[in-house]
Amino acid sequence: MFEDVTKNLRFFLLSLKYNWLSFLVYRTQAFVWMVVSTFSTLSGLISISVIYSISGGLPGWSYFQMLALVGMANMVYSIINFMIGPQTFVRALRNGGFDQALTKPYDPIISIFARYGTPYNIGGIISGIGLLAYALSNTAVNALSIVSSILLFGFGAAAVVMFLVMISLVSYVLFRSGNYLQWITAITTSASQYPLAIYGLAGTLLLTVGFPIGLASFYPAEMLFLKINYVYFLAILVLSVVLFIIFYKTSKWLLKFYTSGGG
Amino acid sequence: MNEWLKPYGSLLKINFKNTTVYRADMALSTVLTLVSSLVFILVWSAVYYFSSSTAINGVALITTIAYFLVIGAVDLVEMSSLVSNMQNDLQYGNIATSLIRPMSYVSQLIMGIAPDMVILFCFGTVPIIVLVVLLGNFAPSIVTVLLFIAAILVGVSIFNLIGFIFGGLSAYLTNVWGVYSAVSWIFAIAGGGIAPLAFFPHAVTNALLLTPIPITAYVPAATILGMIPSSIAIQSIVVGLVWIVILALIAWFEWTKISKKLNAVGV
Repeated sequence: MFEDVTKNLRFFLLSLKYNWLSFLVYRTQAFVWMVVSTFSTLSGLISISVIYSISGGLPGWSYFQMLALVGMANMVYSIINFMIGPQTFVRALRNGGFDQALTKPYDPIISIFARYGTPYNIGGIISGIGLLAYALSNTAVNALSIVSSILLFGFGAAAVVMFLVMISLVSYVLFRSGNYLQWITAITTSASQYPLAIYGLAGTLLLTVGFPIGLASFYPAEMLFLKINYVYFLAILVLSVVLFIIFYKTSKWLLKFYTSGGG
Repeated sequence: MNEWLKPYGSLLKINFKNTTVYRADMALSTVLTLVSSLVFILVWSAVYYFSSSTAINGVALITTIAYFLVIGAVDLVEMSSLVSNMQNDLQYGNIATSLIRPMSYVSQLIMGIAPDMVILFCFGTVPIIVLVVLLGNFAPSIVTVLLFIAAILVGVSIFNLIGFIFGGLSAYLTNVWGVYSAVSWIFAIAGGGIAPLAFFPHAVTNALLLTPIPITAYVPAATILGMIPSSIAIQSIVVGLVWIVILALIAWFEWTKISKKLNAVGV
C-alpha cells in the first residue's frame, strides 16, 4: 500500500517536472499565462473593494475577511485547473488519447493529473495566497483556527478536484464533450467568493455537495474567522473525506466506459 | 453587381449552416452567461438588502439587477472566434485556401463570425433586453434605443478590431490566446462587467470613459436603462468612433506587414 502511494507520487512529481520544463520552453508565453491566471483574484479584489467602498458590505463579514475568502476561492480554482483541465481531458478521451495513460503501471487517476493539468495556474495559486496573507495581516486570527482552516481547505480541495475528474468522465460518457465544464467551474468559483448564505438554501447545498467548491473556500474561511464551531468543523471535514472517496470510486468505475478510439 | 455579391452570399449561407449545427452549444452559452450574471445579481441584492438606503450612488436595486442581465446579453454578441480563427489560419497555413477564393481574407473573416453574432443577437441579446425593459418598466425613448444600438455596434467593432490585431500577432508569436485573454479580462473588469462604473470613484470612471473599454459593456447597458444621460452616451460613442479609427489604422498597418510574410504554409 505505502509502496504503491510512493510509486504513484513519484510518477506524479516527475510528470509535473516535465510538464513544467515543456511549459517553460516558451518563457514569454509562460509568463503571460501566469499573469492571466492572477486576473481572477484581481477581479475579486476589485469587486469586494467596490462593494465595501459604497456600502456597508455583506453582513457578518468585514472587508478583510471577504478578501481572505476571495483569496481562498481563487486558490482552489487555480488548484483545480493546475490538476486537471476538463476540456483537454475530455478531448483526449474522445480521440482515444487516454490509451497511453492506461498502459502505464500507475493509478489511472494519477495519470489524469499527470497529463491533463495546466501548470500556468500556479500564478493564480500565488496571487490567492498573496491576497489571503494580506487579509490575514489585517485581521486577528489564532493559530488553531489557521490549522483547522488549512485542514478543511486541503480536504475540500481534494474533494473538489476529484469531483472535476468525475464530472468530466460523466460528461464524456453522456455527451462526448466537456467544453462547458471550464465555464461552470469559473462561475461556481465566482459564486464561492461570497458568503453562501446569500444564495439561499438551494445555493448553499449546490455549492456544498452539488459542485462542492464551497468546501474548499467558504467553510475554511468561516473556520479561519471562527464563524463556525469545532463540531461543525468536524462535520465539514468528514463530509469532504466522504465526498472525496465517493468521487474517487465513481471516477474509477466511470473509467470502465472509456473505449479506445474515443467515440 | 449581383455576380459580385454571389460568392459572399454562398459563403455566408455555408457559415450559417455550420453555426447552427451546434445549436445546443449556443443555447448553453446563453444560459451560462445568464447564470454568470445571476451570481452578481444575488451578491448585489444582498448588498442592497443590508444597506441603509434604497439606492447606492443613485442606482436602485432593480436597475442594478437589470444592468447585470443587460451586460450578459451584450456580452453574448461580443463573443467571437476571430482570434482563434486567425491563429489557425496563419499558423497552420489554412490561409492559403482562403487566399485563392475570389474575395478578400478580411471579408471572409467577417463572414466567419457574423452568423454566430447575428443568431446570438436575435435569439439571445434582443429577447433578454426586451424582457428586462418590459419587466423592469424602463420605458426607453426612441433616441435611447438608437443610442443603445449605436453603442453596441461601436462596441462590437472595437472588440473585433482588437481581436483582429491580436489574431494578426499570431504571425509573430506562438500563441496569442494568453495575451488576448489578459486583454479580455481587463475589458471585463474596467468595462463594468463586475460592477457598474457608476459605483467606481468619479475620477476612475471619467478616465475610463476616454478609453475604448466602457463602450463594450457599461455604456450600452447604462444607456438603455437610463443610468447615464444621452449626452454622456453620445460622448462615449464619439470617443468609441475615434478609437475605431485608431484601431483600424493599427490593424491595417499590421496586416500590410503580415501580407508580405504570407506563403502556402501560413507565416
